[in-house]
Amino acid sequence: MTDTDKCVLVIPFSRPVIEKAEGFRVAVRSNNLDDAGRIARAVGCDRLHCIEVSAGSMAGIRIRDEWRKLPLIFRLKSAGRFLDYAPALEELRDSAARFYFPASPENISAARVLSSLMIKTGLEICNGEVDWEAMEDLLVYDSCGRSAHSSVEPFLYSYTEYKNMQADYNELYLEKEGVFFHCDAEGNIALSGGALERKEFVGTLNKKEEVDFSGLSLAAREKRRARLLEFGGCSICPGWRVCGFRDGGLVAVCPRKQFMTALVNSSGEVNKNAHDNF
Amino acid sequence: MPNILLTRKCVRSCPYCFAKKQLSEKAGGETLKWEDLVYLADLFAEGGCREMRFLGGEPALHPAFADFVAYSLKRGFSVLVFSSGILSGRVTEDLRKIFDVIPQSGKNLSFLCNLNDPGLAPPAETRCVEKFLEEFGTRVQPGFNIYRKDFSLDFLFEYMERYKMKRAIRLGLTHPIHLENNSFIPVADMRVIADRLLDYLPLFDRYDAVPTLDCGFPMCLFSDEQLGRLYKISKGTHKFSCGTPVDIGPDMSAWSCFPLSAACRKSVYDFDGYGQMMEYFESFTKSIRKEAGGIYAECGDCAWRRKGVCAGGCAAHILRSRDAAGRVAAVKI
Repeated sequence: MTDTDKCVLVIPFSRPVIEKAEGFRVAVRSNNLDDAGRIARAVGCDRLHCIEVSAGSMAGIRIRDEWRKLPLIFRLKSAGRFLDYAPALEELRDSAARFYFPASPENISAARVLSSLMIKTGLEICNGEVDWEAMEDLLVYDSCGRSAHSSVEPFLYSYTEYKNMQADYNELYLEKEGVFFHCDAEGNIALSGGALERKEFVGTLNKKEEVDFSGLSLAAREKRRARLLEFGGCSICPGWRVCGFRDGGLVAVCPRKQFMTALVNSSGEVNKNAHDNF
Repeated sequence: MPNILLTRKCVRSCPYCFAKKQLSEKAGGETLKWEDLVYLADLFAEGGCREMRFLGGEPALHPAFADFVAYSLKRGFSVLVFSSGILSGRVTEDLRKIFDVIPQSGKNLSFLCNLNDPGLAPPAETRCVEKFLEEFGTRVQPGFNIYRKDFSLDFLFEYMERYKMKRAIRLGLTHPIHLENNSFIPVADMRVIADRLLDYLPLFDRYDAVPTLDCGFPMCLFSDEQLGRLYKISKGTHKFSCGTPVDIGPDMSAWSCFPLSAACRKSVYDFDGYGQMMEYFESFTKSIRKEAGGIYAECGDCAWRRKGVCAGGCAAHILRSRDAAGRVAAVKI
């Protein structure tokens, strides 16, 4: 398998772009859940990394029977009011969908509520202010809770990828540099969502053979490795293994340090328990 | 079965209020958090308890009341809400929605409404309650707390008929709250209460309703003949024992029923599981009873108490006795 095989193009839902992305795995973004079936048919299951749907809240989200096995990822601003999405809980539970929210205090609570109802959730801890204490509390629930509950990301990612030195939970948000390449409706390619917004393109889908995907992947990996070579930065943080280094700086002032250390410890424990039990 | 206080706020100020101690401690503001509800749901489920009982104050004053009810139903619990029936339009609308969209609610959601005599309650309160009963009456069991000797139950039968309420009336004796001042029925007046209660048996019979005596009635309040009539009318379901209900506050502190709340409290988080929590409070109540007997001097030698048929009245009365404080402090759990 080459580096190009591991690349995923993050594209908007547009048939021409899907056609131009031929040969790559794709993550398709849409604001309309009704596109899900059309996307799956246009891309084909073997190439489809996920369908990412943006919406306000979970209210009104209904997952049709034929979409149950699709790798749906919802990016929501909040879960919304429980009573508003309660009627659809059974179908949400039976689907492969995962619901992501920004890690605000209300959404951290909502993630626990949904998890206890066996709905797969995730919290976006890459942007903005995060209530780290509440996150740590949720982590304890997720890793030690005795009652049945579904997984919460990025905890699950951290447990399963604990031994992978290249793991970076930003993968969950389609933002692992060198793996995810972001494209716009014109087919321009950028290294990240941010770079796409800033129009810092590395090529275009029309001439994708001219883009050195392998080289870009390697460079991203080197960049990550370099972070670990700077003394005093992420290299001396115990949480480096699971942290995405998103806004890493001096470890003494890094707001993520305590949580990431707890996450790495929990991941170790979960792996140890799994090893001991089987 | 534990009761969960969703909030310390209440819309009424009943002179006999059992929760007075709890409500006065941190007036207003404090409500149960979502995280704690999930924790309790897990704890209960793990302990095999399949019922959530929401209490207050007025539980419907919790900002997420309807969502908590819906969540509990979705977790597979049956839900019993102890409410005054004084609900805002928004909460009524939410409850309607629950019955519409959550199929489990039809079977698993019910209310116990402690009703005050409309002749003694403010008219605005009565209007609110009647509106609630009009909407949800069939799912409501009426309750009445006896706090004066001249109580009347007539209005309950009228309500039951008018709003097609459940045919069982929970009757509670009001008890003193340890270290608080509230109106309650003194031990000396209990027999008068029992006689008055028995006067209503023909009405219970006529309306095909069952009187459900809450804890705190000692069995010897009733003569053998009265017990026989009670037995028949309630189809033999009467018990005079103490169920040791556990109440859980919005701050996750737990105690063994309201009247004893000042005597023994512990955080829910201190227990390893549901069973351990229930056992702890049960042994506390047992210890008080073992130490101090029942509400009458004769309780000490009573064979029925020894056999567990009667608990000897509410332990809250025992705590009011002169030397109770020292004796309770000496109780080892």
